[in-house]
Amino acid sequence: MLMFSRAEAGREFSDEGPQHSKTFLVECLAWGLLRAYGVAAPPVPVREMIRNALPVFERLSLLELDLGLYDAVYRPLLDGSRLIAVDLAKTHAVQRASMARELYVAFCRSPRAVELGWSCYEHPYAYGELFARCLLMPDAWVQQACIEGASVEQLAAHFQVPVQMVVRRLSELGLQAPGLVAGHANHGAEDGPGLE
Amino acid sequence: MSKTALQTLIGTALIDSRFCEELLNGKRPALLAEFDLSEEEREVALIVETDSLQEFAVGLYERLGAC
Repeated sequence: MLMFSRAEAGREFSDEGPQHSKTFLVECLAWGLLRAYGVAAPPVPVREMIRNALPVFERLSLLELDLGLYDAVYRPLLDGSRLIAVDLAKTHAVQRASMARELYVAFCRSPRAVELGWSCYEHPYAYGELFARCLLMPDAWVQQACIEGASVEQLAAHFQVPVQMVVRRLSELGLQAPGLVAGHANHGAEDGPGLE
Repeated sequence: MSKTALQTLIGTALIDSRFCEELLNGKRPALLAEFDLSEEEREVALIVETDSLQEFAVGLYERLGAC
């Protein structure tokens, strides 16, 4: 494992600095992963991305079972490997959203994140939900779908994510979709920072 | 689309340490050619001098108003 002092780490992606640059970097990370996996259109195959994890994730694997407590959870193992366990009892869309969130946690816990001094190393969940939205619903793809007139429900089906996730994504991108009712507008607003 | 290319460039450097090293140390023109950057983005990306990915990313972000 790469070893860096906190001072060295702090030279790079420290917790200091404006939030909008952090959200920018989180979105960059999502785009980088999409390129690395050769994903050019939705739905983003997040399950396969974990099953065939990039070297940066350091021996990451996927465990699918009935957890009963978490939608999905990241755990390091004693032998140095890591896993993301996902609850098969949850809906397909919820599984995908939670696996994407935990993939961000896995990155935050990776040696590469330490090397970069990635700001959320100690608080990976601060940006996990945002990362999941960026990964599963990339900005440009959502905008294109909105131009084509997709409703919230159609977007959810298109990207294979929960409706609440679509509503939050549209809100942070400043987009509106046909059929978006007022009751949806604030749904999911408590799940961490959004884009500015 | 252009913003996407820029973010993909930075994202690739985030997850690939070798790419990151080459981006910051001499092979930048060749690497930039792999991405569908606008002329303005390419020019700015070439003039940001730093050995830090953080500074490179923030430099692009601030100069191009990428977000």
